[in-house]
Amino acid sequence: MRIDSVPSLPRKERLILDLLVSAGPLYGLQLVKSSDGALKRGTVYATLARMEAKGYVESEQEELPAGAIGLPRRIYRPTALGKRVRRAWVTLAKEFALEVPR
Amino acid sequence: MSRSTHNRSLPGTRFLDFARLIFPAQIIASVFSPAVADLRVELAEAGPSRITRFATRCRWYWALCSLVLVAPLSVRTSPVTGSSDAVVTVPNGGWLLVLLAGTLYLGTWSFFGSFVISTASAGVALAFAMRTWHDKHPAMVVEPWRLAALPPVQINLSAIRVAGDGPGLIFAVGTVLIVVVGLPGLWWFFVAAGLGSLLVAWRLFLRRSTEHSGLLRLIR
Repeated sequence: MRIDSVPSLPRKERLILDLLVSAGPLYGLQLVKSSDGALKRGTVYATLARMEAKGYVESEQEELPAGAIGLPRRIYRPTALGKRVRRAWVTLAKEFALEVPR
Repeated sequence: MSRSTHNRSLPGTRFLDFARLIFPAQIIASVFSPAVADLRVELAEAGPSRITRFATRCRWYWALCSLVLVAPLSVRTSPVTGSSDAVVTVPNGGWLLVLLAGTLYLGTWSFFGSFVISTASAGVALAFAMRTWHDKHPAMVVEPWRLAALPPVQINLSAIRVAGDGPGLIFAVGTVLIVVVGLPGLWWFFVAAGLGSLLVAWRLFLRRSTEHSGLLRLIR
């Protein structure tokens, strides 16, 4: 694998993966509310779309009850790749934390 | 109350209609529809208090406006394949062009003045007219392989393809009108050029139709 094809994991994407791994599948709004202000309504959906394109999360539309009018909500869950990238990042972070001079 | 009327009254419906005008279906499905669905849920959970509901609406509409700016810069969709092939963090050329045009308009405001407003309004009106024409004439065949082979236009205005069809005519006539508004002293030049080009076009049309009918006679 070339160095420029190593999956990247920016801070917000990492936070989303942390929340999804710890709390299970969540809606975009639930992610915003459980992030204590770190995620905003105005950006989280674009970030989720980008993560879905990268293969870190997958989403599913909820089914509307028969006769219901409106838009179905979209629920997000981490993929195997997303979990793997997060694990790798945690390992990397620990490795660098150990190398911090005392 | 009919279903469509009821739909229209749901919060976020008009915003989605607007977003559909400027964003592809993939971005609508992956970014804007989930946001509007969550808006409705939060608004329903806000309770009967008018102040809370108003605050929730304001928060969401601010968020949706931010999304309009953020989405094209963070998610790019593939014109041919599905959302799984979306490319990330590549700015959308169309939006960069809009940003560039906005900056140029602001920069030239001091010496072009109100002409800036007329050109911007006329440009938007022309864009909508061309888009409407395309929407109403779905018989036009789209050739994705040809589109894929073309280099992206980005900010090179001369690379924008103008076909010999309805939108092509709207583009040509609209551009001339905008220039006439900016340089009214040259109106006679554009009128003369327009008449001259009409004469040439009519001559070409006659010649080609004669050749065409001659060929048809030969074939028969």
